[in-house]
Amino acid sequence: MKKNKTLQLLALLMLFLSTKAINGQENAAQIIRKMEERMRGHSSYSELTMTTVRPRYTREISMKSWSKGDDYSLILVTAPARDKGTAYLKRGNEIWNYVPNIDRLIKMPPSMMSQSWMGSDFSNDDLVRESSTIDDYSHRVLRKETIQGRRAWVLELIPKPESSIVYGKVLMWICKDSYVQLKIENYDESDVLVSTILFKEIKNMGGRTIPTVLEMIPADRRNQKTIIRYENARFNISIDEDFFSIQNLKNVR
Amino acid sequence: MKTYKKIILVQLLLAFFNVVLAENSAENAKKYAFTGYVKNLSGLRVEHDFSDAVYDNLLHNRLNFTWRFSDNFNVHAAMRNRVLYNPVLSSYPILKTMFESDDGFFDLSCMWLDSGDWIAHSSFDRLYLDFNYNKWHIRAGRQRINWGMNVISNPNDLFNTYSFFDFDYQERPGSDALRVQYHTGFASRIEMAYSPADDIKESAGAMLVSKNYKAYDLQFLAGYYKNRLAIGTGWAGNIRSTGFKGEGTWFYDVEEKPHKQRGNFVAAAGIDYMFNTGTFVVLELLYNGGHKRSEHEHFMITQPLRPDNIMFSEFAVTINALHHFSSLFQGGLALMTLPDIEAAFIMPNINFSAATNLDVEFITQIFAGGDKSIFQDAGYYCVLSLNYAF
Repeated sequence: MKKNKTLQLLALLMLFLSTKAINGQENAAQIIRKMEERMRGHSSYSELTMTTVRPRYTREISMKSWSKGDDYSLILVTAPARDKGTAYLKRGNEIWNYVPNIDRLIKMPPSMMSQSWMGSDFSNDDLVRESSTIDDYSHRVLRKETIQGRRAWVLELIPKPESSIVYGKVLMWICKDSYVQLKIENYDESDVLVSTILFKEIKNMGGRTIPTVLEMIPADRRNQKTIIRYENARFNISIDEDFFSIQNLKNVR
Repeated sequence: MKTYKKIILVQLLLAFFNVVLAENSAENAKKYAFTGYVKNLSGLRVEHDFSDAVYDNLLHNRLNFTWRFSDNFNVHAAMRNRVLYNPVLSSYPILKTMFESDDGFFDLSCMWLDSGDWIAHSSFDRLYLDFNYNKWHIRAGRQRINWGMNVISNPNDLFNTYSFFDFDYQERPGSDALRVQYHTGFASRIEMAYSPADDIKESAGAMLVSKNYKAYDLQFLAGYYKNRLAIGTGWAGNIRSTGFKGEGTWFYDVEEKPHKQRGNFVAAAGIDYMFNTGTFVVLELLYNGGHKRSEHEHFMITQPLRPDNIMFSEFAVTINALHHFSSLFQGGLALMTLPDIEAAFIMPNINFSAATNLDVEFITQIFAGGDKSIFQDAGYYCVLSLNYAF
């Protein structure tokens, strides 16, 4: 049995090495897979603050977030006072919203996913769904470029026709050394830039080197952006699918 | 309040504090949460012919306390304090009676000022002990038991009905009850709730089973509601990207009453959709088979109705739209028509976030209806609300 496993591992390693050798370099899917492994892990816990910046004011909202794979996610709002305790649960395509002071559980329609989340520049989809980058797009390496002083691959991602992604094209900059995302540009179907996401302040958090600040900048609105700052993160935490339940949606803190 | 109730209440409170004190001596006990808000509502009520304008003011404060004395146990208490000025208070004592009424088994409220056109009132609308262990969740005391699935009308909500027109009370009343939930899956549970009353015939007790099936939340309930049997079902799911929800309950008198239909059915179903513009729209249809008119109806607009007579008419069609103009500005519009009594209700509102915890809201209520409708004398009502949350 043990021998078998070792053999399997060897075979896999050979396979991996051989594809590398054949291509001479990593292909887009491999880069994305490594990036996702680096940025997300299979499961994660994070505490973050989202700041909506407008020309004349800013608003902050803080939350805790648990996730497992692409399908399971739970978000608890911890500030401001008005929204504290509000929580969101996502399982596959189903989303529930819980408001504790009225013990109110509302199932949200899927059409809500692509819309702005609490008035920010992020959509519900950006926050809870995280469409599968591997499965929902066809991808290729476009070029290599230096960005933020780092050597990076520039990948082009075209959504597959059957996916529900709202963009026509996505460009993604991934660091060649650390595999962290550095920048994303989202284009609409007429190839016009819709929004840019910058990944900043790359440092060690939760045992990994990750960007700890994300800036979402809509292309058509000047002086406007939304910043997500991670205050704490842990990766590959042991978390069961059962954790993502309505019982926990009501109890988590 | 009857003496035996006082004794029960005192014993319950003592039990609470005994547990709190006993647990407090433990190391990791200092977990508590305190939140609330202060809100001032300045209202202007105008008759349909604009002949008479009445100005009123309500200062509303809410305090929520939670003590978590272990991972499994917590106590929650929420207090509602209100000071009302209304120049018609002294002429309409029924307004005062409604303001101070406490529908619970225990009277947890107190009118501490009653002078001419001024009244001040405090009440606990939540006061419960909460116990969570594995798949079990048990809650005893004054609480909100929300069995509704719809956004607007909830015929499944046997324990806490509320008035759609009472925009000021978003927390909605609680009821004195014991609630036991056992979770059988991520969106499935078996639940039992019982809410006692002085006259046992006026109590309510029911069982609910919920199950997630093919991305639909389904629920079935059966029980006893104030001398009536109640059997109901509800669902929440989606048709493509549109939300599709509904619920219905059939009520049946335990004892036959003369000149009264013994059973009636109340049901509501609706769709909800978020447009690309960010506008969220709910459309809901209500059939209120148990509709009965009562006296003093127009004073009762903001008073909770019953699940077996949930609206002032037999039918209602409601559209509710919500739009975020920016992250600070939000606007809403509710349109309700009650076709069989030829009445309509329109409620536009705008909400502005002036600072992180400070909201300014302007709400207008327009009641329109003919001779036989409850809205005949209700006129127009405009409110400016300032809300500071902490």
